[in-house]
Amino acid sequence: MGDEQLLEVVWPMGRATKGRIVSKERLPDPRGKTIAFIWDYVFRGNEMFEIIKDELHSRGYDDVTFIDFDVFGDTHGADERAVVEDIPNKLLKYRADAAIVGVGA
Amino acid sequence: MPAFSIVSTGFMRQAEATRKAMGIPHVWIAEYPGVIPNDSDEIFERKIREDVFPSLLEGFAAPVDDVVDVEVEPVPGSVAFHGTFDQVQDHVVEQLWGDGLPVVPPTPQRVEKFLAFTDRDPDEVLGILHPELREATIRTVAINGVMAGCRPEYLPILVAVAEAIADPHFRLEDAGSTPGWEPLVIVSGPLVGQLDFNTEGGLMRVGRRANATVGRFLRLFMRNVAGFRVPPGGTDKGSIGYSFNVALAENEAAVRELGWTTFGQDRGFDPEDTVVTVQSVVGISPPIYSGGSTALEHLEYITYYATHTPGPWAYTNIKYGQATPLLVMSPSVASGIADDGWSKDDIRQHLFENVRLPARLLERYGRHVEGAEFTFADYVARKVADPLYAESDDPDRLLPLLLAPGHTGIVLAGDPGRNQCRWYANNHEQGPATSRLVRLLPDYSDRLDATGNGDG
Repeated sequence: MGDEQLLEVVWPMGRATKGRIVSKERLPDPRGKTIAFIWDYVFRGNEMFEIIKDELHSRGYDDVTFIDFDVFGDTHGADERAVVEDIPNKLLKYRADAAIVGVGA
Repeated sequence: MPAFSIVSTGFMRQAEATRKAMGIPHVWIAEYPGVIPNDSDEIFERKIREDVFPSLLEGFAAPVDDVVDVEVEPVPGSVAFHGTFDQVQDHVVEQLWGDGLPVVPPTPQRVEKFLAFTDRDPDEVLGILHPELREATIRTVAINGVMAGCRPEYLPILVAVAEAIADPHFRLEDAGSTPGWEPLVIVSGPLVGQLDFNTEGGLMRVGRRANATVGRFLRLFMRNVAGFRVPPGGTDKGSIGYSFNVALAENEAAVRELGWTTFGQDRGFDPEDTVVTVQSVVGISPPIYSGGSTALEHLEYITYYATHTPGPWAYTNIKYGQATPLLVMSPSVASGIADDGWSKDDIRQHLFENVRLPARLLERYGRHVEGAEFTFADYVARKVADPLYAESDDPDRLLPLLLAPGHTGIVLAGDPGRNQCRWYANNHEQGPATSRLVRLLPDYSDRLDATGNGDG
């Protein structure tokens, strides 16, 4: 063991390229806000969004506006790259204040 | 803009790893507890109301931490550890750099031997790889080639493999998906013989250094540079998956004997090129034995297994508009088909016309995969599928699973003394067949001869 050769080995990973985007934004008060639903068209996301809408209304948030998922398109379909690339434009166009995105499963 | 994601329990770790890698650590993740396709309507609704929604509300109001830790990583290619052989192995395991097997320690000296087989800048960036968005460079290819046990002279092939998976067409970002597909490297051209790749019996077994280590390299590269890691990592969500594929090498002599084109030529390259193709494999057929004096006798069971290997999962070919399956064919089977006057294109056309399943089988499977059934009528209405898929509403109508004849690859390889084929189903648009030319230094053969290991 004492005579065993010591080896130097190099780091096998690549340089990470992504910086960090620190966003301090949340949605502490949804009243009067516009919430976008963005869906990958799987795992019953459409049903989830309807229940979420209902829950918000039942808590008195009746003046929340929703942008439904069909505005954005399928984020997991054959043209997902084009759909995802266009999301920022659509969020701006429809003046979204927040986005709920699903479903990872 | 604040964003809030909904993710089921089993994918929370992957979601956390992904947001960290993308530099957006503050995205709120609301957890759906459990497995969505397994839950009844009542349980599903209860979980949305009692678990997901409260978490979203919490996220709406949650403060964002001011302090964000920034990890300091080594300079790529720098010495990251000193130790004995055993200490190196332990360190590799701790750092999640390995694949569970002992690695060849990537010393600077070993890496330099690899880099001698290229004149490209070692820091040349071949692409940025998902999910960790790291740079794939010539140097990282060499390092991981060392670790996999490759010989230095394999470097040009390894670079071509890395270039193929870095191509956005390959969709490497989907390699951690639950189907657990495994990439397959196919090598065709002169280097197959020069580097002693196996093209015959035991084709897809470990046993020959070139086949085994080139295949192993790709999986190591996907761990260390792309960032796909099984637990304790969180980014590889292949539910079951399977082990790395050894590289598949084409029996060019058998192809020439029949007067057929090589796989490399089918992929658009010249006969004298060595070509690497990488594609996903999500399912492999049992051995397909076929005999007889006519092509149709051989194609009967090849067609059966081309249909039933992917089975109803093939609805995803239609949904995503992509499928590049591979038929690996013993030269003896190919000879029987060719003797009947058939070409590779004839085989492809026959498969395109006959690989079909009933609509009801495909539509019902969607519920098990995605939590909800679909209909081809809806797919057609949304322009997801060609109108032919909803020409009638007969649930037993047979629908084509292959989208174009030319998408099926055919490689001659395997034991020429046995009448066996196998069907390799690829995973729709994820990992479609992507090819790259293997680029060699002008004096590659001399360098290979100098190693004493090639048939240069």
